[in-house]
Amino acid sequence: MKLSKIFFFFMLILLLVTGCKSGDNASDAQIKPVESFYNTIVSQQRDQIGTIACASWEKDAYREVDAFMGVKSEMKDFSCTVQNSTADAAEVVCKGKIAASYGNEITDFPIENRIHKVVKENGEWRLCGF
Amino acid sequence: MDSDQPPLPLSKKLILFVVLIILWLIAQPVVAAQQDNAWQTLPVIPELSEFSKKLLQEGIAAGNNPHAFSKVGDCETSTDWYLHDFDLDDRYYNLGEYKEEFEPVLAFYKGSFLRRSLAAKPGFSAASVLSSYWIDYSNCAAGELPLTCEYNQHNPLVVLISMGTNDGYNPPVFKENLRAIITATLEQKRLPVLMTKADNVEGTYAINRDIAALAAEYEIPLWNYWAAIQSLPNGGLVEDGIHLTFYKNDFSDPYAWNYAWTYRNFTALQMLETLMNATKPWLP
Repeated sequence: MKLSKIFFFFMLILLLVTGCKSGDNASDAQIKPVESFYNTIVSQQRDQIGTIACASWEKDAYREVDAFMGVKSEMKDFSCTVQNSTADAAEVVCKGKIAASYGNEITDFPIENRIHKVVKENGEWRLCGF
Repeated sequence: MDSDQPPLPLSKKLILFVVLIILWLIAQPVVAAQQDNAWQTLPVIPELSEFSKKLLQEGIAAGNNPHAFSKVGDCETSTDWYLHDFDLDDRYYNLGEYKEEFEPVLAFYKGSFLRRSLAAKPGFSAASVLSSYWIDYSNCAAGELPLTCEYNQHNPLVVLISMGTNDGYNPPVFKENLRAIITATLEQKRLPVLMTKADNVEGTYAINRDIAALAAEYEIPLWNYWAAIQSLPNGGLVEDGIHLTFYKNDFSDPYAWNYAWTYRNFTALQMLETLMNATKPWLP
């Protein structure tokens, strides 16, 4: 009896741990295209957009990346979390800012008020606007 | 007479044919290069097309301010060196022998010269003007773009667009982004005026070629600033090959005509004079 109780609790904990782990994986996957998008802006590797943006938003994504090509930029205090999600779509919000410099002039671009829409497209999570 | 001459033997015909083909192949790149550089010979200040004149009329009817122009561009546009002084008193400029010609222009567009455009900023590429990130957060609403925010706030009938230097990293994307700026401007019945840039950072003049091609395609004015400064030392550029050589706005000083900024502001006033004259007939 005692042994079965221990086994039951062990299984329950295992279930919770794997459940949480699975949830983390899902949100990590949803956050990834958003993080990749901002990393692309900073690294100016615009060719990466093809693997980050959804098809319908790709042109806009290229434009947003191109908009930073004339400046040097870096991400400051940057982190993202999933706000809402379903099986095929999620909303991701981020903290931090893009700090862009041109000569001696530094401009900060806050990203906190943007809700990043990510969707599952052909089995992959893609950023699809904000 | 001709029929008396013996026909050329086949071998000679063949040689002649091959020679002609070789000459044609040699000529092709030369012809293409001449066509590619045709924009360089276009006038600095254009005559306005019928389309442009009609757009001015339609723009006024749509409620755009005929006395307002907006500046769109990068650091060479956002700087106070660009037209800013002409809204100040004449301690800040000297129109010299052009006083009679330009004073009506300064009066007609008063308030636009010193305006700090929301669509002009150091580092701007053509894409930046259309980027939701690059809005002035203290003056523009969320969801606006630098271009639309400037238009919403200043309501110009004409727009001076000087872009391209910061697109030197990737010239192929420039044309489509400039096209988007043009179409967004035309949709609001505002007349875009495209300026050729002074530099050639991309090394092929591809950007000025695209600017000229789009001006021709949309029948909008091409202000060929590049052509205005080619006789200046180093094409009017400082050592970095990008920025313009500076002198104060004194059109009475012969020394001033050795510097690119004199021509930038002088030809801008000429362009605005042309636009003013085409606008006046449609004023209520």
